[in-house]
Amino acid sequence: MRRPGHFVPEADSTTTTRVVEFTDLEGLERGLRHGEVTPVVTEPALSDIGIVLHEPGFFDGARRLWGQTATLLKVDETHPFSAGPGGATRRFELRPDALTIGESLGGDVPSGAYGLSQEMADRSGAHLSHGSDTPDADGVDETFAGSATSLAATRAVLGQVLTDRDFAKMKILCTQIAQGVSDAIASHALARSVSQFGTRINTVSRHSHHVPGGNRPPVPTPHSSSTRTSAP
Amino acid sequence: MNRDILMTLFHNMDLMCPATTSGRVAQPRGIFDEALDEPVD
Repeated sequence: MRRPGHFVPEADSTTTTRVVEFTDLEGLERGLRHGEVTPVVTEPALSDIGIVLHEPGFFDGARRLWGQTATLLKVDETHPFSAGPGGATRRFELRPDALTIGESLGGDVPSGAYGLSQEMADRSGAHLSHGSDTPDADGVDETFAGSATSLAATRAVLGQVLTDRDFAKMKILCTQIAQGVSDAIASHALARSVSQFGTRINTVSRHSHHVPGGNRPPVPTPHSSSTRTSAP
Repeated sequence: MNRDILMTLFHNMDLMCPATTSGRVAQPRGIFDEALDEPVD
């Protein structure tokens, strides 16, 4: 039973959520067509199977759809943040209504943050001032969700560690490592590829399974295993 | 760790650290190359 003040969904989320494959503009159009869904929640670049970048033009098309259907956009920058200052949100010129971020934000100290556009903040504030006479039953705004240590760590990271200058240096070093790994893969003729996203590189298999009969996978050319990067 | 580098196994991912210097970058590059020799040959 739902208790007053809970922030949990009021209905089974599988009945209120549509899943659309990343960077599938037609799928997104089908998902939003009926005007029943908001917000769209996504990472600006998917981060759990290497880095998955959008197809060219995807976000331009998505922006048109969001505008036509008045759909809100919520992005998670926790991992795509490696793109550089402003994260992938700035790189891809997204204008999300809400944004979440964590992990690297506080160095090794557990921390997280969310941000809202001014319009979203105004709408949320109006909702809370009219509808929330009860205390937050889940404790989202209580002490276990934040501490002076987390705030101090975040301030130090944003002010002194993850500066524009350090990001630029890290990207250069990361490109050197990516090139080194890529060269090593090429010289050993391995079916792996390397991709870089700002201050992060991923090394992933270029084959989903082994070739039956014990054959070795096709030997990649040095070119095909070279570093794939999107303007690091 | 036997090669003086600690790498985590998750995500097949390397994240650059702000404290890393250019001198340190060459080390994993060489060691990765050496490590590949063993399972491949």
